[in-house]
Amino acid sequence: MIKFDQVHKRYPGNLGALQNITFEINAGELVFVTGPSGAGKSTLLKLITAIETATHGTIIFENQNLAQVKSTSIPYIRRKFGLVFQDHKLLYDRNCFENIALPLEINGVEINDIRGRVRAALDKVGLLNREKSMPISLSGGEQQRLAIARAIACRPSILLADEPTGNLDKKYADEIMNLFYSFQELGVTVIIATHEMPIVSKKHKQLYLQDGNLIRMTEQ
Amino acid sequence: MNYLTGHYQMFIKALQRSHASLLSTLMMFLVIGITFILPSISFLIVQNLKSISENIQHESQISIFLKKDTSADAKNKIEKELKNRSEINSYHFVKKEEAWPKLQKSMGFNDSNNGLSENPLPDAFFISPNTMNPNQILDLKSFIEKLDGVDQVVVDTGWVKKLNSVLHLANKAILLASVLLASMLTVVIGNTIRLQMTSHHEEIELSKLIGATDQFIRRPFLYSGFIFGLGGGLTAAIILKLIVIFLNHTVIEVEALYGSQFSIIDLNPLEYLSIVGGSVLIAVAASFISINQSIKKF
Repeated sequence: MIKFDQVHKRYPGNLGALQNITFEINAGELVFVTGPSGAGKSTLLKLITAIETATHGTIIFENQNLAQVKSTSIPYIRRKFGLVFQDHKLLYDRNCFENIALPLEINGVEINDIRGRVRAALDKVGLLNREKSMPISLSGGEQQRLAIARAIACRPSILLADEPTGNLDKKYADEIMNLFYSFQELGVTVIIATHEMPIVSKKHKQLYLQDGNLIRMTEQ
Repeated sequence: MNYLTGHYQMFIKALQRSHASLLSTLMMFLVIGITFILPSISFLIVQNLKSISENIQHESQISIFLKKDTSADAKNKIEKELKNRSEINSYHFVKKEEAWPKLQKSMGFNDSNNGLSENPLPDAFFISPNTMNPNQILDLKSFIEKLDGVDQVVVDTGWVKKLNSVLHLANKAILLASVLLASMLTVVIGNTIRLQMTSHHEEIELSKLIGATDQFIRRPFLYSGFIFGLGGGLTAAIILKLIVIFLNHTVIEVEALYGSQFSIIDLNPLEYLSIVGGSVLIAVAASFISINQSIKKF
């Protein structure tokens, strides 16, 4: 599904953020991208979702070379991903319902269907009773779950999460991880970037990055 | 259908945004409205002056004063020439012996106190031309001046001509001012839309990351521009109409006092429509330019 072949990423005036990365992720897998802060985990996720472009090498997503995709087609590629951002990126000027409705509006979902799908997504993460609340009134764990609900509202085939358990205590972190496992069971490809080793399950594929290099890749 | 509902949703969104910042939206209506009223009122004044000057033109005439020693023969020759000119609608001849008592009477003179020993007036023709074209009138004037026995030709449309050229100039000035005001509006509306986008930058950034097209991001702001234009244009039209009604009310009072027959000509519906249309056009164009410039930064 996702194939990296000798991918380099260099930001202007900087050392390379990623060097010579080669790996493949198959549909339905759950993959951890691990490594210390600054290893290039976020950059890797941004390359997959065409937020950044590779300096060298090829990235193939669903048999398309991302370097050759026209800029007008990029939005349609991004719609295939569900993204959970490191900083949530929740909109604090609108309530939970409206936060989740946004990706559905972007995808052109009919106004009559939006209501049901927002509620389904909120139900999935256990926030159905907070529909009308403003995000600021939610706890850290609830905000994270709201961000996940927004990512899954459009039923993406791939879910990418950047540090989804950052700043959460063990109980909340486990809850979040269980959510991701349940999505994988439904056939969703899940990619999780994290520097917290305790949450990494030994049962799943792991890409270990350090200083922009892929040090180790463990298969499940 | 999907496309239409998308537009409908966006329009509602833009309306909600305008409603949320009702005061600033109303202020924007007023800014656009007043900017449109300035050239519109000038246009209205010029239109009215034009119609006045047209009425006066129909009463204008050319006076031909003959030399004192002109013979009856020469006078007949002149009359014959005048008959042949197609630009002349009608003419009449006034003998100096007829004109002198009339003048004396109208000025309140009598024979004993006027201090003049003889009739100072010459024989004269008075012509009503059937054209108002200044070039044709000038041609006619120079033709008559060359005739034997003609002393002086006076065209009393001189000031009408001057007024006309002033009005012509005023029209050009209004056009120029309109262009300047339109570019000012473009800047003001563009800035407002840019500000709106800045205050929604988180939403725009996120939308782009999760797959929104530029059209999707542009739409609600474009509708905001449309609402500004429509509201501003309607404000201008309504205020202008009120001004005309107010002025006509005043004119009726003056009419009652002096018995004059004058009322201000209102703009016609098409002109009102073009104020609103122009306002919408400028606002949408300004928003479009501003959005396209800002959208690249996200």
